[in-house]
Amino acid sequence: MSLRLQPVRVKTGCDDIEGHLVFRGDFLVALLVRLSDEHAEDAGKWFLERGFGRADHASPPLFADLDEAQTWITWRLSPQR
Amino acid sequence: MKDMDQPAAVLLAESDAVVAVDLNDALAQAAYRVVGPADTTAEALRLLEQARPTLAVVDVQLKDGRATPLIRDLRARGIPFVVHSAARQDQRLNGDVSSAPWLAKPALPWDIIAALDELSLSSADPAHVEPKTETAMGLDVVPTTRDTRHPLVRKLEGFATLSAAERVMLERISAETYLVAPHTDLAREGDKPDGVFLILKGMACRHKRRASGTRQIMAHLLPGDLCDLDVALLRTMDHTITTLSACQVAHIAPETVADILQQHPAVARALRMGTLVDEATLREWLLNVGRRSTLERIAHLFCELLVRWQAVGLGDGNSYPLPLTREDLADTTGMSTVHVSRALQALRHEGVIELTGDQLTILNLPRLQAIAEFKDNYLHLGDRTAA
Repeated sequence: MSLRLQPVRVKTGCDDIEGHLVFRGDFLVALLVRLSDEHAEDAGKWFLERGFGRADHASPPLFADLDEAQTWITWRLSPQR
Repeated sequence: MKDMDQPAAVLLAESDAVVAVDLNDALAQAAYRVVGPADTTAEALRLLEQARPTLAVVDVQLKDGRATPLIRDLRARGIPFVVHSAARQDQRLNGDVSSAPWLAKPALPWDIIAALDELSLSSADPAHVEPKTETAMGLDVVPTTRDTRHPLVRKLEGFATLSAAERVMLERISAETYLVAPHTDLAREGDKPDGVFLILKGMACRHKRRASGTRQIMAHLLPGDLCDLDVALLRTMDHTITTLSACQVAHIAPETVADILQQHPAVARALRMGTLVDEATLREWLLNVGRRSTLERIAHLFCELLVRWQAVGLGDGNSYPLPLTREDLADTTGMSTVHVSRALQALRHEGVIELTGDQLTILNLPRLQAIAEFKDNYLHLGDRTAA
């Protein structure tokens, strides 16, 4: 089942406000946030702010773009993993 | 910094052919140009004259004997070098390699490369035309202390009254020191413990890694801190001790530790107090990781480090060396680097801290302490400097 993104603004307390809720079906599975210029070399990358269930991770990687993030989340959610 | 147009030439003097091949590959991958490898001092000296390398990796025992003439020549030419040797650091009989970074063979290739990167970085700095290795290794992050006492003596005197003879004894057992590059393991999980390490300059840490490579730092070791007083009682190390910055380190043999504990009750008592404080600090860190927010964790760590640097006389007002990367801070506080960056930004925006290079200055200590709910009771400082 493919993922669906819904743009959202996130009050992280800093400039990282652009985000996407990530749904699979009607379930919320993750929240991605785009890193602002405050993050220097990581600016523009996507951060797994929260993953739910199997998409939860103690130290998730940063993603270069939303496609990469969705591939990772899909892999985390896959029953074969 | 390495000039990518013209890779830095590294003389590789190594007696073991297999190690030489491995290092040769690793150096080439790291964009260094390898001169050699040479397995004798004679060959290394010839290459030194002919190929004019700018850095070197030297095994002190080559096939034709000790590499002393080579080391002397490298010194004369001002070429910084890393020692990679199977000889134990405390078996170094002469002072000719003192102050050069020393890596125990077999060292991980990336440890050697990290040490070389560090050396090439500082030797490229015009401020260090005549590189004194100690400065070149970045040890100048530690400000000169007004208190000239040895950091171990200073720390232990906070816990017990020492006699002049005991102070001299402590200085003597840690007189033989060596420099270690940043991110170098001093003892690895699974190793048989071999005496204790004493940090004299720089910062190190205890940590454990998961199979995935992620790590949790369980303690920071500052000047005057000993790694594991009673570790000789254990068969294997259950965690790893690694330098965070360049460090000046002394190695104290297990027999020496046992002798001190038996012969010098005041020193033994102070050392055991030190161990209790280490345990108390670990409890506080557990509270930090388990029950404090991102911002509170960072604030708490910064408050603690201020007190600890001051306790060994190396704080400069409300400023102290913080030679840690964002990854180090993330691994210390159990957070992502993103959360660490946000916490640092928040503290900076509020005017609570200032980070300049490797130096942290606390601009509003009462505010930082309030954020962290910081109480220094667990450090058991008595009437010593308190925040």
